[in-house]
Amino acid sequence: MLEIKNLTKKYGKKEALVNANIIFNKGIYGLLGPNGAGKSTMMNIIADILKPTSGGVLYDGQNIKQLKSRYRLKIGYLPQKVGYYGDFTAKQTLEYFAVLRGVEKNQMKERIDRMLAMVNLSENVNDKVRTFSGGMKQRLGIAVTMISEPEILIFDEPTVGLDPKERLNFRKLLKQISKERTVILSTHIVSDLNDIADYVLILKEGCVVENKKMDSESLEGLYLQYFGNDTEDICSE
Amino acid sequence: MLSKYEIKKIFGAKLVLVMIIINLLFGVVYSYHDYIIHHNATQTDMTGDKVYQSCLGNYSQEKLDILQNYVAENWEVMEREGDSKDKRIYSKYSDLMAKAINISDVMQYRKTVSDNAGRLIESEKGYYKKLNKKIKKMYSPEVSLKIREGNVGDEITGFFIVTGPVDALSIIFLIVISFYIFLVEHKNGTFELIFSSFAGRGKIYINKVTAAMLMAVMVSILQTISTVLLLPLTGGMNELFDAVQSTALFAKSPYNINILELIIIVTLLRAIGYMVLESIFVFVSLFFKRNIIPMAINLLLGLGLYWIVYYGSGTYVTYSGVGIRRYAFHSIAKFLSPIELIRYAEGYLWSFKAVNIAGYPVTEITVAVCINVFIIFLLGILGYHVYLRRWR
Repeated sequence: MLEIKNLTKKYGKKEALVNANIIFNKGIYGLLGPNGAGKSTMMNIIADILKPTSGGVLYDGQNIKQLKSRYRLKIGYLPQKVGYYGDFTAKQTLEYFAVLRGVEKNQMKERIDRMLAMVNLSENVNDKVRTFSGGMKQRLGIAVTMISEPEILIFDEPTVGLDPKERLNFRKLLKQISKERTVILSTHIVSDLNDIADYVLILKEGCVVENKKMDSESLEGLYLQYFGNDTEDICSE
Repeated sequence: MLSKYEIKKIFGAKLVLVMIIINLLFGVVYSYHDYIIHHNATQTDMTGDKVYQSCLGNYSQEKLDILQNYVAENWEVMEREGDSKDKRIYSKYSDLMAKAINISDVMQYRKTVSDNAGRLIESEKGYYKKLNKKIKKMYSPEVSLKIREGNVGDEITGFFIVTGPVDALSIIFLIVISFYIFLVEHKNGTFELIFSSFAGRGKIYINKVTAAMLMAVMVSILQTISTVLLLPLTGGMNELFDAVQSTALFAKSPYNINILELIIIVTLLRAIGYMVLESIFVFVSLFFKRNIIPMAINLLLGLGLYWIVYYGSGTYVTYSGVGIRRYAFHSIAKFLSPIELIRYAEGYLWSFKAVNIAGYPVTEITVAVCINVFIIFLLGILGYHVYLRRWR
């Protein structure tokens, strides 16, 4: 179980994240909010890239600061806009990240083949990444994120730059890989979360203003409630 | 295993491949240009002269006597006007005699130094006793010196000891390589991907720095290859196995090595210098996400340091086509600066010089290598702390 407790991140005087408290169980968590809401900041802290100003991230009750690399074995993080290495083939890219993500040598070949099949890139195994389209790179990104079969998947704005068809394919793939995992997916596109998110978290100006299970209520309506009007004092103590 | 991918990232960059070609070509052209200026081509064919041929090869007093006798008996040939075959033959004998005398001088020098050291071992105490024991040990062994035609040994070392623009180009190449260690991850958007990985801290850092160090060694080897590629032009490839004392520059060298070993040692010393510079360049790059500012800083540091040490080393004077420099402030530069290892590694091998370290004589070359290796490790450790903390 993943938990963020009293999480705050300040850059000088600017508060990027304010006193966030969330428990993540298994399922897909959609993190919704406009640009600058604090989504990437939260993702980077959960992925142990950024240090919080105060508060912390707990994995099964233990602070990830103490767990260090043992925690990073459990997560797979796909940041926004990854370009990869143009001269590497798909296979070499996965090999590289498989080593980085702690995949055992004797499991590597099987794992790479399986990941490429899962994202429909088996035929492109020896193609250089520079020849890939945006959608193919994103699928490769999923394969990279999944290569160590982590328990927690974190995707930061994964559909940016994809056309509608590729976004739909991505949602299907996400649904497939999210079984028995915690998936945290950030986006500012409401439709990305339709039909796939189990929970929705709405961030506004660094504050978690909504944290609920997805139900029949319109996600668009919920989003408009927070971003259609000016709302003051949204971060309550 | 990760280092091979880091190196692949570097070689995947077209700019790196272009720099390899430029460095190779430039080194070849520059060394050849230097060779052409100083080449002393001998035209007279002496293969039929049995006396002359018998004087070639391993030195002996008998050979020196034969040459001296010939020169003494035929000196009036040089008084004749104009050019003639006899004059040219006389010149060949005269050159060969000069070579033999040089060898005799070298042997005498070594014996004198060794004998003096032996006497001082008896009379001195403490550090100076140890110093002279070391001197005697280094100068006692006999070196096998051969009487050769021409100045091929000097030409070989002249080919190889080219600096200035060749070094500057290598330094620029190292700066380009440093872009592909950490900065490339920010450019590709892969920094967070790597940093959030299981091995994204210590392991990846060590592998990246290792790749950078291997590239620095490669730059040194590339520089050597480019400057010795045209060695066969000298026609004296066999002389690669002659003792370094057979060349003018290294006549007083205490090291029992041949010219080929000299080339290898200088390449290794230069590699250490390049490793220090590359460590500096990579360290600087850790503070930035884009290339422009670290490039400017590294150019200033790399080329600026080189310029300061070059001009601070005093006056440059040429002798027989080989450079001899007088140092104005060499002591600091020699030990603390990687530039000396890059620009003037062979200088450590010319003669015996030692430093008193806690009562023990340690050669300057050992001190310089130890200090520079320490700098590499220090920058590595500091860099790791910056890598962990800079972007958090």
